[in-house]
Amino acid sequence: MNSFFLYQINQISLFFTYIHNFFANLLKHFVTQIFGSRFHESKMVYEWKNRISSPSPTDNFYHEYDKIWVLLIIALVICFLLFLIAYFFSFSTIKDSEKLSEYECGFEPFDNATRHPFDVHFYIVGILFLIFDVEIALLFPWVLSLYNVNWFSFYVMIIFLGVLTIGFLYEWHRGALVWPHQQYSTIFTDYKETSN
Amino acid sequence: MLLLLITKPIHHISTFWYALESHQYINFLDLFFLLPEVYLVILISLGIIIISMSNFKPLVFFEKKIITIFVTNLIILSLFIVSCMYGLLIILNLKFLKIAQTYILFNGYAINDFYTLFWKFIVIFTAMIILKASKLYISNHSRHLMEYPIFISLTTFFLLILIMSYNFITIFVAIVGFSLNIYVLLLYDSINQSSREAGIKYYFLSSFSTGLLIGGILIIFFFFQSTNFLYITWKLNYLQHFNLLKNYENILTIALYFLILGFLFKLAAFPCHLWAADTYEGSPHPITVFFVLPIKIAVLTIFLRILMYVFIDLYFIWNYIIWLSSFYSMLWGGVAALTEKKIKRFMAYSSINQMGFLLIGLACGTFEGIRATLIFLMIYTIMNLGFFIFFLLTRDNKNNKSMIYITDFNYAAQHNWTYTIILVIILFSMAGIPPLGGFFGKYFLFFHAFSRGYYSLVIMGIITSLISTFYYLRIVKIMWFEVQPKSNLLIFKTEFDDIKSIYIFTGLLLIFFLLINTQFFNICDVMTKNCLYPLT
Repeated sequence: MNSFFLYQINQISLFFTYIHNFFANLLKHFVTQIFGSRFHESKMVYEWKNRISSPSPTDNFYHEYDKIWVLLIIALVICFLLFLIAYFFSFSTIKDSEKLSEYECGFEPFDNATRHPFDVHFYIVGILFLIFDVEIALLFPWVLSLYNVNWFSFYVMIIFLGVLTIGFLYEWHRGALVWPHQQYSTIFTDYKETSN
Repeated sequence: MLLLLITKPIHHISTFWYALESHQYINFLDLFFLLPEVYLVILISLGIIIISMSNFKPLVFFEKKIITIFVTNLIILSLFIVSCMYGLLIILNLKFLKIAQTYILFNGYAINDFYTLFWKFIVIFTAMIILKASKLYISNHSRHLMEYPIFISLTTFFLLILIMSYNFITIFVAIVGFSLNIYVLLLYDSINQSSREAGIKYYFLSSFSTGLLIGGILIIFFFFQSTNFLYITWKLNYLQHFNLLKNYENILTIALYFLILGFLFKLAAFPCHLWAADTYEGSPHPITVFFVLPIKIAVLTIFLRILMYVFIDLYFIWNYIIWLSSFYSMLWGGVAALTEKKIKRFMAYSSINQMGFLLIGLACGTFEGIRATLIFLMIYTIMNLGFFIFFLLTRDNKNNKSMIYITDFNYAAQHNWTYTIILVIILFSMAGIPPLGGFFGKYFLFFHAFSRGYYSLVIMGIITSLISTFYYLRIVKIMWFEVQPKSNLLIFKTEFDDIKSIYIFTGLLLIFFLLINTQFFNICDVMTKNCLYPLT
């Protein structure tokens, strides 16, 4: 075990103590809002706990994460609300065996895998969206080092993004993103036969 | 034997650090050397935008053929401007200024010198002529691939990057880039079964060969901990200076063989040549010319630089495989073309034969040998350019189709005798008949191979050039003496006057090669110096 690993473990433990402190403080905040500030502790203890002390360096660092927890709570609430709204306002319940069955990118998951026709368009869409993955993988280090680089390095990425947008325009207007209308649909007919 | 090798000065460590550290941060001024390429890329993107807009409702009334021809004209113009820029730079460099000093660009990933400048000019020029000549193919063809000119110009862009690369990473990216475009272009005519066969065959074999190439590059990277040419040369010099090379001989042989096989595939030389005839036959006519001329030029130039500059200390490893490749590709190309009846298969085998001649100078491993290969490469471009311009622009009178079989040449002489005389000159120089250019290219190669002691290569070269005279002269005989009254008449299309003038100019260059060979020698001297010692 080297020192770097120990340092990492220390950092992680500090992070978890921070989470604990945050939620404890949140609970205390609500308690004090309802019952008053000195409901559960005496004045001496209160003053001792809220004494002016030298802040540790990690406190400031983790203090910036406070907003994330608030956002997390809001997001959870919104998700729950949306789920409820969908549950109450949906017109009909769906009882379709096709939608409840397993789905794996157009393949039949549990069947003889050989000698089945397969739509090539799945691969094409996959390849087209792979480019944007690469774009994001290039964008992250650029964003992190953007404060330190000169204007040339900034405009190189802008040129790269411009080239990508031209390619996107091309594939859009050539109709690569539109799912082709098939006269004999290979996948779905086979699937119905096997399901029945 | 090793005493006869080129004695290269050991790079002091200060030169190495200067070349890398001075460009540690990528400078905007490095883009100045890429200005023609940047211009080309801007025009390509404009063409892509035009094509993508063609499905918009206000623009639907334009036919696809009109849009393709508009975009081809746009890209021909851009290629013309770029080739003019390079030609100006070359003339200025020869006459007045020494602009093309060696500059290492982009943190040691690319190099700019006279060698790269000249071959870039040749590649762009040939690509422009191919595009111009393929307008007839587009207009006669029922199927219209609107992206055709864009793929062509993208391949030229990647070939330019391949020529100026100074790092194995750049080489790999450029090779994969141009071959990706070629896979698509081979399937232009995908209704034909032979075209599909050609496309799939080239796709599989080329991906396999690039796998070999990246395997070689990986082993080199593991050994040297770098892919930069300068670092590898410096390390190899160090190892040879202290007699440590023989300890690492095995791993370096594996790496070099992988690398060389990957390159020989692209060159269609002996061990990896079997794809050539089928792909040439199945591919559309302009793309066969693209295989024969710009791709082979670009790959061969960087191949010479890798073997003669980076791995010159390992000459005793790679000389055997290059000897073998040149010997057997001369033999195979010479013998297999005898039985061929189709023109494109015939030209594939003749180009394999000529590739064997080109590799003689590399097998010598000397300054003079490389100079001879470069001279022969110039003559090779001139000869094949002339032949393929004739091939692309001749049509049947009735069907308006291009010729397929060698017997389709018959009776061409009566109708276009001026053009057939130039074709005869080109074929004679391919065979190596003395006053013409092709003879001198072969002569210098044989001379240096003889002085170096490669008697086997010289004998095989003479025998195969004797055999090849038979099948080159057969075409001449068919053109002038075999009159078949029922045959459709050939017509050399005369709409494209500038290409016609270039066609005539190639014949004149081959005739008057004796008068201008001093200029050729001067250029080739400078280029071999740049190829072998880029930084001194």
